[in-house]
Amino acid sequence: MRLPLRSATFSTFTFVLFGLFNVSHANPLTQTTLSGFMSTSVTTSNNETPLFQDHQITDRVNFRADSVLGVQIDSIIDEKTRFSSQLIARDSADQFDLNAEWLYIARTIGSHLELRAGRLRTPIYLYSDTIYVGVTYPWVRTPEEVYNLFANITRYSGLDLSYDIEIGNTNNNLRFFVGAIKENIEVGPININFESNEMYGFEATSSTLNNHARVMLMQLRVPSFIVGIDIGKAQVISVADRFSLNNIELITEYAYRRIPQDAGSLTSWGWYGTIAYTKNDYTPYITLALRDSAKSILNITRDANSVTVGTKYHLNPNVATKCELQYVQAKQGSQGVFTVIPDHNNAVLATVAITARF
Amino acid sequence: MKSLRLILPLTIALLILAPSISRSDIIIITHPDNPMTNLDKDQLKRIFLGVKRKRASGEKITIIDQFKNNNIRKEFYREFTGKSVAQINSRWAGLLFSGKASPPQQVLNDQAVKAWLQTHPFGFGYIHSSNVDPSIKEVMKIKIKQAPPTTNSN
Repeated sequence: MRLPLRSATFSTFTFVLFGLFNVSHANPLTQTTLSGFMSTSVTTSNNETPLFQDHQITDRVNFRADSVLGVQIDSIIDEKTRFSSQLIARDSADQFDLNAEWLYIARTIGSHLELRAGRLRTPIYLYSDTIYVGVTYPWVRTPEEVYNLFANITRYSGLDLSYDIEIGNTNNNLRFFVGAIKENIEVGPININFESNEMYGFEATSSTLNNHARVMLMQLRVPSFIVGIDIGKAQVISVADRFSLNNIELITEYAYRRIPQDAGSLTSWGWYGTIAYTKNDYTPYITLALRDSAKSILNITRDANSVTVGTKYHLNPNVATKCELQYVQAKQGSQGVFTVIPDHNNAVLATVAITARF
Repeated sequence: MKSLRLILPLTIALLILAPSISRSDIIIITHPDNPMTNLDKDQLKRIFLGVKRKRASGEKITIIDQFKNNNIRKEFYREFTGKSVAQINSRWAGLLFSGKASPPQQVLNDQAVKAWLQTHPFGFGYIHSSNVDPSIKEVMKIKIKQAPPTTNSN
């Protein structure tokens, strides 16, 4: 489902959804809950070349780069069955795009298994599931060096089976997923119809009170969108850990993408590390990130590094502002996190954002 | 004049006692028939932080929260988990918007927590120690050491 919405329609959509929110809460017997989230920002950089494929930040002041509104409807059908849908409206060029990011039915099997079928989030990264929910992470936007490794594809159609078990003081979950991806993605100035009917993998997580570790492995057949190049199967691996001790939180994630030798150009990896410290309502943080690739036969690589400093400040428990300064640098001759190879290979971005959940 | 003699000591006594009343201890409680009685602090923290959501045998564990504006909510999470309400809300937002779990239902007061527990055998909640009665089972006592902060009260 992909519907273009003009601004007026976007407002109507918001109004209708808030109406639905009131209706669902008016009748407790429906067992339906409606919740949502939003983010918006004002941002600019000192480089005229657009930054970040999904945000297009230039040296002009931009009020729409990080705008997102999401609404989630959860329904309990019976003791073992539930339904969930998440609609996302995001800014895209001169209009808002409305998408069903997920739309699935879930069924509990026995005590430890759950099967979900429908449209689901592609569980590639640590924050894939909540990538549009700003209150769940410290930054204004997730580190591009890692989160753009797979062209910002966030959903697939198919099913997953998850198994959870507690061992000692550790809660463990193993999730297998299989399905198909069909997306219209932008790679630089080119629009590509990305279609893969063969995608599968697994995700394993292990959580204690202070630590959350995660590993994900995925394989998929990449469509031959470039004439004359047989791309074949790609593998994506990601490893992440989030550790907290008192007021300090450490987040680190590494992701690796491998595509067969004849298109070896597209093999790449990214990493970031964040340290955040919470004191009262403030959470200042610093993030280092980098991206590297094998030599490209197309001479388009995204090798880059960045340093981000910022702070998240909670206006109230459900609303936070974020102020962030980011220095990004593309490797000489590389596109880096810019949308095309820039004339000047570095930029400083300043962003003030507000994010909320309701 | 006589009444003034009586009011003055009473007022002084109330002023002395008031801080200790407002810092009443908090008790984590459960259903009287809940077999999960030997939980340590780490396990209870994992339950209230949404990490542990099932018993080892697979039954779902539920928690009940106090209304967002109640001071007890802020005090409980600060003293027991070391986290602010904002941090707790962020954690539950992560679970909710990833489809893993829903935030706990909120009720208005201690009486409502006790009433809710009567129908949830694997449920956990927290109330002021002064409101503990035989209808529920005590699991752990949380000593309130600090006065509640004055900012971001909801």
